[in-house]
Amino acid sequence: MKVSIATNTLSSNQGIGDEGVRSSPAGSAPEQEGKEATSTFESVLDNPNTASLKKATQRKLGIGLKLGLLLSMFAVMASGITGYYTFAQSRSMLVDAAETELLTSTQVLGRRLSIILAGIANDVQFLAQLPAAKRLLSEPSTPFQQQDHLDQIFTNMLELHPEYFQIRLIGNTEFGRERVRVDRDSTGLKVISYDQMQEKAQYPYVYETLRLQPGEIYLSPININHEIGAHQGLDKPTLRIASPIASVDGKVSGLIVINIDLEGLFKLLQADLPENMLLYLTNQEGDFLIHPDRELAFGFDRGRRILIQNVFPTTSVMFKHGTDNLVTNLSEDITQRPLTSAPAAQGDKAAAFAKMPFGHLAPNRFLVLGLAIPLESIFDRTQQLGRNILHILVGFSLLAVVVAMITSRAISSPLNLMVNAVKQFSKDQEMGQLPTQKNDEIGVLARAFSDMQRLLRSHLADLHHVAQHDNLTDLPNRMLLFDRMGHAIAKAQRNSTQLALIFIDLDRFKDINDSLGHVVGDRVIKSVALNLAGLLRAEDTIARLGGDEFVVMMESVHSAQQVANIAQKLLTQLQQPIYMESRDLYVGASMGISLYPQDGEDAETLLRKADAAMYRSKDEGRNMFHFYTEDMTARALARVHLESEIRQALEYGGFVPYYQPQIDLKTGKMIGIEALARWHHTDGRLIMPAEFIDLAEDTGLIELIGTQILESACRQMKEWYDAGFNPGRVAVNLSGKQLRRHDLPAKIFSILEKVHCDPLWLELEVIESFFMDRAEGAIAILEELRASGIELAIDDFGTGYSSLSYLKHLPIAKLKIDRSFISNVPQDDDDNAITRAIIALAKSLELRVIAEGVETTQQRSFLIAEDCDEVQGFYYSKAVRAEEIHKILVHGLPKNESAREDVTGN
Amino acid sequence: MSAKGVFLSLLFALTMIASCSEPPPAQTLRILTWPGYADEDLVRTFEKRYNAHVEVTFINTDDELWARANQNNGQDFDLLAANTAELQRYVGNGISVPIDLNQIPNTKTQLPRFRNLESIPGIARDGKIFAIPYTYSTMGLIYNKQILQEPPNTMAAMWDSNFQGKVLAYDGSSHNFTIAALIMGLEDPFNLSSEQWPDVGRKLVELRRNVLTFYSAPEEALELFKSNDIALIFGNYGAQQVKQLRDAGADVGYVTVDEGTLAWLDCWTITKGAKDLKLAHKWINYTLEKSVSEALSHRQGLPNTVTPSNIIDDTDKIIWLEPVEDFEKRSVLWQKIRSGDRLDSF
Repeated sequence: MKVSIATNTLSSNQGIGDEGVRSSPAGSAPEQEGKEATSTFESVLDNPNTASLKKATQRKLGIGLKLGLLLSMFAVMASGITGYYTFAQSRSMLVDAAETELLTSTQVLGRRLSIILAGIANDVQFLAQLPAAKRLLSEPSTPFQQQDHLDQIFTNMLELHPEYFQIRLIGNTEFGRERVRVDRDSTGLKVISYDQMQEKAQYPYVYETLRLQPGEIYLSPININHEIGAHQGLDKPTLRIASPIASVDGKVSGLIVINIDLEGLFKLLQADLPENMLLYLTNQEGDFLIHPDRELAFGFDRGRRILIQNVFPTTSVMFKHGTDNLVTNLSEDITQRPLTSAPAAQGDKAAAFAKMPFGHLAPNRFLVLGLAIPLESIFDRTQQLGRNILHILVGFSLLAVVVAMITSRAISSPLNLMVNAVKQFSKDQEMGQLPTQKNDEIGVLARAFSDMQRLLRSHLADLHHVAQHDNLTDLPNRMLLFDRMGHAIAKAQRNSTQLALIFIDLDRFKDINDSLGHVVGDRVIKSVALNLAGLLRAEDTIARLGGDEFVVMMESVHSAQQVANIAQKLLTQLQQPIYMESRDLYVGASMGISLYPQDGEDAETLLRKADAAMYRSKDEGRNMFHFYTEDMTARALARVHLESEIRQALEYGGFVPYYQPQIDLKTGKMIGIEALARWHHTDGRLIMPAEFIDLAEDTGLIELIGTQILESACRQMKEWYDAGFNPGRVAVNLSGKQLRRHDLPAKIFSILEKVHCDPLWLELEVIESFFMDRAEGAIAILEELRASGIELAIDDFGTGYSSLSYLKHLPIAKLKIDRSFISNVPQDDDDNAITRAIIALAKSLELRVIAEGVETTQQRSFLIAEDCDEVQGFYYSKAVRAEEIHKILVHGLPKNESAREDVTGN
Repeated sequence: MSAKGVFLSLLFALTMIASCSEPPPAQTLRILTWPGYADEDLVRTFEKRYNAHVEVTFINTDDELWARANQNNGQDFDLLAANTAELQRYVGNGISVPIDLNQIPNTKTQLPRFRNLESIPGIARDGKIFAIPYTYSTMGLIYNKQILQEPPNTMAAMWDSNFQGKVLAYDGSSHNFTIAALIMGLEDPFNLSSEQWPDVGRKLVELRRNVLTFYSAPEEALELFKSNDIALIFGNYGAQQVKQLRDAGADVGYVTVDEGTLAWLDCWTITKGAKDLKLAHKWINYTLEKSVSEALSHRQGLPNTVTPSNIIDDTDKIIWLEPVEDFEKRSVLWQKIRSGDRLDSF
């Protein structure tokens, strides 16, 4: 026990060493506890419903009370048991001591009785040897015989021994006639006259003594003397001690007998004993001769023997066996008592019995002497002890209860403090008072709590920040923006001021992201955010909504012009190139502005309208800003509508490929086709990509559309080849988004496999800007595709900034000259030169080259002249349904001049 | 006291508290009777059968019986056994109360001689029955066959100086006076006239001078017989006493005497102090059960009233005990004689 306490103390001390710095100021905890207790009590009073009562009860039976009760109980029990055992032990010792004392007293009493009897025997012998006695007996009795001073001697002896009833000289003649007799009666000693003296030969003490030798002693049984004329001795317990008198010739001629007052004798003996000590005497058979209840003594004289063996059964061993001494507890066998006798002292007694042999006076005979003392009287002595023990016990128990309560309070009050602190923390994240200054485990726990609270709070703050900020730029996110807008709107409403919301969408971010990757994209966004923030006032808020969308909220706006100025400033800033990856990147932005309160009264409306205005800027050529006008809402709604229609179309397979033939200029034959997406709307319209491609790209749906077109085209090719035709390769455009996916090859292969299309039948067109990203992963994807037999072509070649040297390392087979160059040949010299250069480049790199958008004979002639390999365009055919291609496959290309007038195709 | 002792006392205290709610203890029947009339085993059987507590007090002399029965105004006992002669004074002073024969069905099984209660002197008075015969015995003379070749034929043998110091007489006043009177040839030994008193008294002093001592209980006589040279014993306890002596190995004979042998008939009588009359009747009825009565005969050698006995011959002169003229006077006088008063004081 001690060891574990020491260990605990040590560990808590270490705790203090570690945590000491963080401890709260000492002394405040108890006050806190006091307040808490009061408030709980009040709350119970104030709110008397059962729940709160139950709560109060639970609190009452809290760990403190339980611990206190347990400790108190333990302490009270411990002191109680100790007290009880001390008491019981003392009691037992006292009883033992009393019993030993009793036995000693009994033995002493017995010895004294023996001495007295021996003294009496001496007296008897002395008298028996008196010459006067012998002389007297030698003569016959006459009324005139002189007693020769014997009466005087007897009288003297009786005076000396108040326990003697009478002393007689009895002759063996004349039927045991008494010769000298002195009696004790109520008035004193009385010398009996001649005529009063009786014949006693019929009594055993006479005829038995006469049979003895001179000098021997006769000891009578103790009985009640019924001899008429015995005066004071009549009907009294009597012991007779006699001795024969030898005549002159040596023969026994008479006897001396002394009657002894047994009660008187024992009264003398008892005088030295304590008052409450009870005396018992029995004869050899166990008949009571002396009993505290006189009714029980000499029962045999009244016809009913009352034996000690029956009254106190434990004593029977002394009579049956040779036990000389006995110490016992007496429980009286009440049934052995006659009804007539008065009740004896009730209750148990400690008793000691001792055999008292008569020794040489009467060998083989004995009396049993007993002393008893009521246990209560012994226990009287223990009462004071008991009271003292009880006082100590009560005192100690009270002390124990107090100590237990203090201990439990010392434990429970800091625990309560902690409970309250934790409750408060979970309620409002406020840290309550903790008992951190304590030096024990509770202090350690409190400090741990305190640390945990701090940590939690810091984490919560972090979480809060994260929840409200964009993690890339650390600008406020949509949530915080709305929050601030709510405040700003309320403030503006109060102050009747204006608010402006500028919605910013970067124009070329998608391209940058697609071509240079996310890492660069992220850096661009960060840079933009930094630049924008630098232009704004402290009270303005700039938030990032995600992707390339930013929102600026301006408070305290006086006029639209002020807003326009800021917007222009932002626009100008965003037109500046961002230098990154060893090049200048041009981002540009489209902006839309909405104003409070003109355009809306809540944050959401204002944001939606700024968004709509931004789209207007996009539609009108980007890199500009517009204030919101009413019609913009309709357009925004249309976009939402369109998006849902695209999704539905994807569901029902509304996107189908149309095919535009690709012609070998040398042979004039169709050597391949390009699949172009068309949307068969449910209302019967055929919708061209220009109407949905921007939205599809914005929403990411472009990927799904591309997949659908690819699968349809491949299935169609399979059909044609299976039918025995040779349509060459089908060219399908890949969007930048598709190209960024690492699983692109797997997806394409799975489609080919699904429709059993040979990779040799497929050509994939990749926009030039894609190659500006040198990401090795993207090249690897292309190489994987190329390795399978799929041919790769660069679409819109000439518009980007391809490094020509780099071009030669790409796994491509074909360049497609952008239609913007072809449309102006052969009239524009510049475009002629570019076209000529591209064709020359392709030739030198051993790549095939195709021109798109060929509509006129002049264009065709120019390209033939410049040795271009292939062409496609209205000159030959617009993009047509598969059935039309089927016809071409069957019949060859029709000479259809009307096709040249159609300028909306491709 | 050990802890266990304390525990036990606590347990005892609890038991005592618990026992307070128990019904009152069984009714007690207090019997005053002669040794052998209420042996412990028979008493226990009775106690069990009737859920009663029986307290038996034994007496050895008629005087003692009278004294005990009358002390405390006769309230100390429910039932006593007295001979028909003694019974007269118990009926006379109201100690004995009438018996309801209906409650003692076993009387029907008694021998005819004892069933005719009206014919036995002393039992009935004024048409009411006061006692039920239980046992009887003659009071003959016991003689030591080792000393006497011929059986004696008179109580006068006890006065024979040849046997001086070898006679055990009975320490009872009434019979001793009657015997003395019989020897003296007085007409009515139960009713001494005033002029006869001194002579009978002197006769008894002579008896005292010839005896070794007087005995009360038969055991006492036996002990005296064993430790002294005894020739004659007055058989106050009759056959019962002879059996006891013989059982102890004494070579003794028993005779009735020519002048007439006294005989007693002991009867149960209920006292006025009886607390539970029904229970007292039950006791009498119980002792008349064949097994109980025969146990008495078997153990004590006394004839019972249920099974026939040949203790009384037709030839024997039997004098049934009768009430004496003055019990008190005989008793007082006897005590003086017993104590050694000399002949010249009569």
